[in-house]
Amino acid sequence: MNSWLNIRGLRKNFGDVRALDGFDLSVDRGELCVVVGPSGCGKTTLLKSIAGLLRPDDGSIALDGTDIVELQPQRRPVGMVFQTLALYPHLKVNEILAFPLRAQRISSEEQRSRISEVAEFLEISRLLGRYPHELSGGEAQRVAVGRALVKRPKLLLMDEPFSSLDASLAEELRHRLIEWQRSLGITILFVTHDQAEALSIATKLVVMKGGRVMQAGAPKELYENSANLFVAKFLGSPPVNLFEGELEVVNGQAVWNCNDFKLELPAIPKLFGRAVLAVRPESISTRDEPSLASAEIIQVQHRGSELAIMLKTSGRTIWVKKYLSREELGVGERVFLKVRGKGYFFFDPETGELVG
Amino acid sequence: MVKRDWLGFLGYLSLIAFAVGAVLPSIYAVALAFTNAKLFGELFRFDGLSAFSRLFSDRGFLAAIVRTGIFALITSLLMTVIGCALAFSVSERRILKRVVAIAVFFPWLLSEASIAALYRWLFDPIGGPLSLGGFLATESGAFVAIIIVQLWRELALGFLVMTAGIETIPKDLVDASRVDGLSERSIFFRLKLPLVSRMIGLVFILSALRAVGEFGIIYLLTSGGPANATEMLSIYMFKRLLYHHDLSGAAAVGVLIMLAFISLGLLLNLWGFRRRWEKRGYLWR
Repeated sequence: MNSWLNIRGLRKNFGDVRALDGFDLSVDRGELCVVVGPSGCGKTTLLKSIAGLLRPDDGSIALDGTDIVELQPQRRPVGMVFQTLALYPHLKVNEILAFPLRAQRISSEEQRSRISEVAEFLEISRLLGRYPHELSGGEAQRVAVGRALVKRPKLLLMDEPFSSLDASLAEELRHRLIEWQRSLGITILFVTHDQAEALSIATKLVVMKGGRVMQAGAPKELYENSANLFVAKFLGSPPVNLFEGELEVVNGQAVWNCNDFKLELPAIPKLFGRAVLAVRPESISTRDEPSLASAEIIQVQHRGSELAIMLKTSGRTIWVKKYLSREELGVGERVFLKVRGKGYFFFDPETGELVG
Repeated sequence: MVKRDWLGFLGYLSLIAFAVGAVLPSIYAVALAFTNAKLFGELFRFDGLSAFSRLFSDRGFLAAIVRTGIFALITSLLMTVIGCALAFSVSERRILKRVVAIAVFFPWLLSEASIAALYRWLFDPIGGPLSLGGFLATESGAFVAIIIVQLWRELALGFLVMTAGIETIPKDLVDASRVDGLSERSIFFRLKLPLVSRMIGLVFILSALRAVGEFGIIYLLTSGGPANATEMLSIYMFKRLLYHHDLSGAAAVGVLIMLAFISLGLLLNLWGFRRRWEKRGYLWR
């Protein structure tokens, strides 16, 4: 257990609600760990427990080898960026940045040099004399990061920091965050409900549901090898296609039989009984040559270099993703579908666990 | 659309009612101050500032101004401190907060007369449970007694306004200050108190207004005595009317009280303008 941050068996109940239900996590030094999950899955409770703002009912939190569960929030080497940013409205930016330093009784010259260092780094030097209400959304965001960084924490917690910003600004700040994190080598625990944001910035991704970890690992690993149906469904846009059915082998060709719908598979999986077939949209190809499955094009969404195509067949919605090509796909057209490559998995319909 | 027209009509109606019921009598009262009107009979005519000069040449009037000022200042200061302390001490305890809210509201259910009767009995120099050895029968004692009754009666104002102010402090700001490393003491003095400073100003000025305007309870308790020790402007005005039949003089006192109210109100507004962040939102969601 040489991880920088080590959380074991964390539990927190609010009345009957289990916000954290045996949460385990280890994060290495210098990682940008993103915890993602639907709202109400316990993400904010997790951050507040680490910051010391909530007292967990059970479990341990070790940071850099020291157990911090018993420490007051004031004594934890942790910085936090709040979802609402929580900038003090009655103070100017430089006073806000000085607050954590004053609390540590750092001399005023040292304070000044550290504030200007952080301000230069985050490019907020010209904002130091302003009040929070005189800042734009992006500026306020950077000030909030500065306030968390100025105390030089061992761990930086971020609670959906970009959820209030418009898409392009959030995109820019995500790039900057990755740059800041790399150049400072700081460990970040970042919480969000936005799976696309999570996949794009994480060096380690944790999918959370009902106060538990569903799967943790590299983003690519989670996307390509989802451990359970929840992770498969939660990650990716457009969403993964699900077909509950049974395997049939006809003349050496694997066919997935869902009663009203049959789909050819590229290889014969080792599988028994009923299962849920999950196919990523980019692993279904549309073609003209006949196959068992066909569907009607309902929508074609242009997403830059990609197309997201929504199809319908016998009441079932299927998403296909493909690169933009010269091939014209018109709404109302009927195309044949085939699974290709390796982007498909089978899950147990009852437990949702991976079966093949 | 029809509905809106009706609402508009109601709006005009209330405007007319306000004009007839409140504005016209006030104008009449102000106008009286510049006449030589007496309480009974006689026609009166415009008499310039003579009513005011009559007032300012009366030592009793000047003493009443000072007395009212001291009374308002002390009550407002104590109200602010007690309201603030009480509101902060129960702010995180839901049940206790309700109990206190009911307790401070209780005096509002009682009529002035019953409050006066209650305190006359409590403070009775002979055999009253709170007579304090006759202290309250002395001039300063009576003054203190009036302040106590006024505070007790108006505490709901201080408590409620402060509680409302404390409830507007975002939880995130307090959490953030803990993560910043501030001690609970610093959080109180450097974060919570500045954030409710406008409410503190509001309580101070509202209780000053209430104190300057107070008449009934003081009159019922002390009638301005002993030896005019509790003769506030309002009581002076009443006596001027009752004993001297000096209607224009009483009206002039009224005009001066009104001016005091207006300047207190302006003060309150100026206080508000300094804090622009309270007008614009400062939390990003």
